[in-house]
Amino acid sequence: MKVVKIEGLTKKFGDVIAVDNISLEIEKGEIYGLLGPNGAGKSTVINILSSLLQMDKGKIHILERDIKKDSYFSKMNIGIVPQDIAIYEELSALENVMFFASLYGLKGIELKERSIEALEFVGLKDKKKDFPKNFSGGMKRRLNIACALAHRPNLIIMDEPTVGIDPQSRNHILQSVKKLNEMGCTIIYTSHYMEEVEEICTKISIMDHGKVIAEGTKEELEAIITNTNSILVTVDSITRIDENKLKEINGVLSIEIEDNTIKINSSKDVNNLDKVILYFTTNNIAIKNLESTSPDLETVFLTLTGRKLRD
Amino acid sequence: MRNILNIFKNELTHNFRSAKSMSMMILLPIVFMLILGSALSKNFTPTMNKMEAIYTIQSDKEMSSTFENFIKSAKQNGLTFNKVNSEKEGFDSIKNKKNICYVKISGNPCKIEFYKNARFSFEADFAEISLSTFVQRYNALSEIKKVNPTAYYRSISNNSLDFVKVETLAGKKTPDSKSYYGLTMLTMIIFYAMYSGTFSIKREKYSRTGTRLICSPISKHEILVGKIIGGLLITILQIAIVFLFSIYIQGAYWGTHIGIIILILLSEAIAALSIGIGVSFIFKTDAAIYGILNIIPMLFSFLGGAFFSIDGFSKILVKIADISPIRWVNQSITGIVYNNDYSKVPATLAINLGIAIIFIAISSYLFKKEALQP
Repeated sequence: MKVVKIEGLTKKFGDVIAVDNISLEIEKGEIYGLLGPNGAGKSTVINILSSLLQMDKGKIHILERDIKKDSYFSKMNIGIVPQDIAIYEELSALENVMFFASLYGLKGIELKERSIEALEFVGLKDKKKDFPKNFSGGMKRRLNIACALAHRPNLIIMDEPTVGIDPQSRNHILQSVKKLNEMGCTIIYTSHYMEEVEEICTKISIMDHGKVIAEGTKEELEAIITNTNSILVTVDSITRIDENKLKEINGVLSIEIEDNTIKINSSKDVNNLDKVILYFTTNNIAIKNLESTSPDLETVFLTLTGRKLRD
Repeated sequence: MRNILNIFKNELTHNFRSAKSMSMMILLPIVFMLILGSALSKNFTPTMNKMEAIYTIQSDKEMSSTFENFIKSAKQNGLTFNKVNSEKEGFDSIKNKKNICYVKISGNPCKIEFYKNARFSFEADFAEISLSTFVQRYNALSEIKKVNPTAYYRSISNNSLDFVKVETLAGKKTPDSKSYYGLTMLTMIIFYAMYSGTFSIKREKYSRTGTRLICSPISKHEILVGKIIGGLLITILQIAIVFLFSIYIQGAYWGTHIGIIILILLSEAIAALSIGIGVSFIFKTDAAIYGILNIIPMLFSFLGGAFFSIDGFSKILVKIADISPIRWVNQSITGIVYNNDYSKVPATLAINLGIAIIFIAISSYLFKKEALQP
């Protein structure tokens, strides 16, 4: 069953085409990763799905019903986890969840039970009477998620739900997403952390300039880049590394530097390993480790968009 | 309906939990009432100056004789009339504030002209009302004389004939300082419900919860109505506390027609809340919104006579003051309480509810989905 079906979706802001005639389908039970650099159009797609924006052209079906003709049905079946934490500081954790769940028709004992259940799900049951102003960033993020769960939506849209939180809370959220998926929820997930997407998403779509430029499982996407391999060079210090000089080496396609590791994406057809090593030795840069790998999702993204996910 | 109730309950919870603004809305008018009510009490107590009037008379003997009787009668009530020789002397005396008024009687048929100095408004009012009574009786007697001379002479020989009746003046009550500030501070603070209206919308922007509201299956009308009803109930609570304080602690007089007064106050609260909500949609920047919130209630309160009546100021200012819904509310309630005068009530209710309808319509129109988002 298709939970989301988008056909020819277009949205313009003035002369700028934010979403350009995209089509995609999300099956029930998927965790669908929506990736793209800033301005790629993924937020616009999410905002249209959430009824925050009107589309200019196209059709969207949620659970096989037209979003325009039956907006009440689609709203009832969607849970939103906005990128900005959207909770009331003056209400307790339980009151927050209960208020938002009440807007979906829940009432009485059922409302309270479902709200406590949602708090338990995100690990905040014992904080239900506490006010968010006393919460850490991670706890607020978890409450932000709980507010979208109590009405048990079929589709949950999570827009960067782990921004700016500690690893422990991030891990908790990722586990929660997996658990929700196991319970039958379909999830649309956006993130700037590639490792999160790689870990939890069953299908990934890469957007750029308002278009879907690639779609598939992690393995399918990695297979797109068949003509590239990567050389990982770990050095003592990167201060003397000149990216432009490295790029001048025959066959080098792109360079990524993180901490003391340089990832050199190179054409498979060109054997340039000796030239790469020569660059480091002639510049007196001590190599601590060197390995050759197949392209990962980050490389795929970089190759397709020309930018890193966090740029 | 259930969604309206949910929004309404949410509004109540937020307002009750912001103790600072709740207490400000209650304590501020109470403190003002106490300070202004006692500090300015003297300005509201009419003190009688010596009531000395002057007159010139150039009329027939009968009028002169009748007016002499009036002068005697007026003297018994503390109003002394002294004759001057010329009009110029009469006018100069008024200009120089030596006398409270100048009465010029001339011609045949007789014409009575009355000139007063604004400084002695209360005393001059007394003289004017006395003179008016005299004129009415004189006209009546003249008519009697034409149709029944016997009855006329019996009337003028009657010792009980009294040209001065002061009931009219005594019946025209005016509020003392406690009652005046009890009313004006209450109507001023009701208009500050604008803040509640604005912040009920701004809260959704600041806390980013507007996004959730728009994504949920609830209409914009349910959101607006729920917010107005919630704000109204909070305002009613604040009004009730200040109102009861003004009666039982301050000792303000609210008359006997409390029901209609409460209706007028409620209409003002609805107008203020609606303006507040409208402002949050009309103006995009916080600076503009805060500017409006700081200026409008204070300006309308001033024009409405919150701190002192502006009726003694220039006619232009008094005309301009009519733009203030607070002035209409204050005048309506004063009319009801002190003169049993309901003439301004329909217009006041129409103005307040008209304002509410206009601003709710504007809010509804501007309630774009982006409007609640940060």
